[in-house]
Amino acid sequence: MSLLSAFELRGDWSPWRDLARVQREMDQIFQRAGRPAAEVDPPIDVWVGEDEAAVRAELPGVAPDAIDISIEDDVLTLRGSRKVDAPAGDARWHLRERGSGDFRRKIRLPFRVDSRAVAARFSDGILEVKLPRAEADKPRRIAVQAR
Amino acid sequence: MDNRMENPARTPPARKDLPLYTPPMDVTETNETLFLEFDLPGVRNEDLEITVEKDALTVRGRRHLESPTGLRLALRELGSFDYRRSIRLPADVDRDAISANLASGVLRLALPRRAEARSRRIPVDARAAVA
Repeated sequence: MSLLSAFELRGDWSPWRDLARVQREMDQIFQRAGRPAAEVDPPIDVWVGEDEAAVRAELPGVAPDAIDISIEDDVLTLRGSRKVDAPAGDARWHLRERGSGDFRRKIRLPFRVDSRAVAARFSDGILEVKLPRAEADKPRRIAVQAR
Repeated sequence: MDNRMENPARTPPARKDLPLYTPPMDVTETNETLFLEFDLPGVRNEDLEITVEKDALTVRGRRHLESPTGLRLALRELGSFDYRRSIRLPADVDRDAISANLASGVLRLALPRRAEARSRRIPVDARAAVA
């Protein structure tokens, strides 16, 4: 599991951030044990607000239809596959530094997301996902009636 | 540009410094062509520069990522930075025929070999090979 609580990571500096990072790195190590191609797990940026979150991921050379975005309650999962083929069929390889294979990132957000209202945009190898908070998850103000 | 006016000794012209990052590269080759591919996510065409100087080919790209307004940053793994990577061009590459294509954050360079270089045979003098 690579669940990352964005909620704990607010603020410019906090010990939780370092802890979360270590936790994530450990998650990745364990996650990678059974998944040899996880070197391509994309780096991500996460922003959160009261009613919206945004996630940006680096996916160079990935076809848009090879990116699978799914929402389950407060967890966003990005997964897919990156193919790196030689430009010509009969080409010989000299150097191979670009990763290929299956990738997966899970991001836990501080609120449940309205999955029907999620919007994703992919350009220049960067995926941007906007995630509106589910209406039912928004805090409700209870009016106090004075008698 | 203003900085250059104030400080003429400074070369190259000052641009805002961003961290430098060496992009990963794949190199493949057919008999006719050498292919180089670089991951440059976030770099647009206008922010990419490819130069050939003497026997060095240099790829420079800048990515500047905008942050969404009104939201707090919770996790940052991507950054804004300058990509740069140089390679030494093999002598038989036709410098005038190099072509480049940037798509989905991947730069592909095709470096055709000169026609005469492709069919060149190296004669081996067996007698002279004795050490």
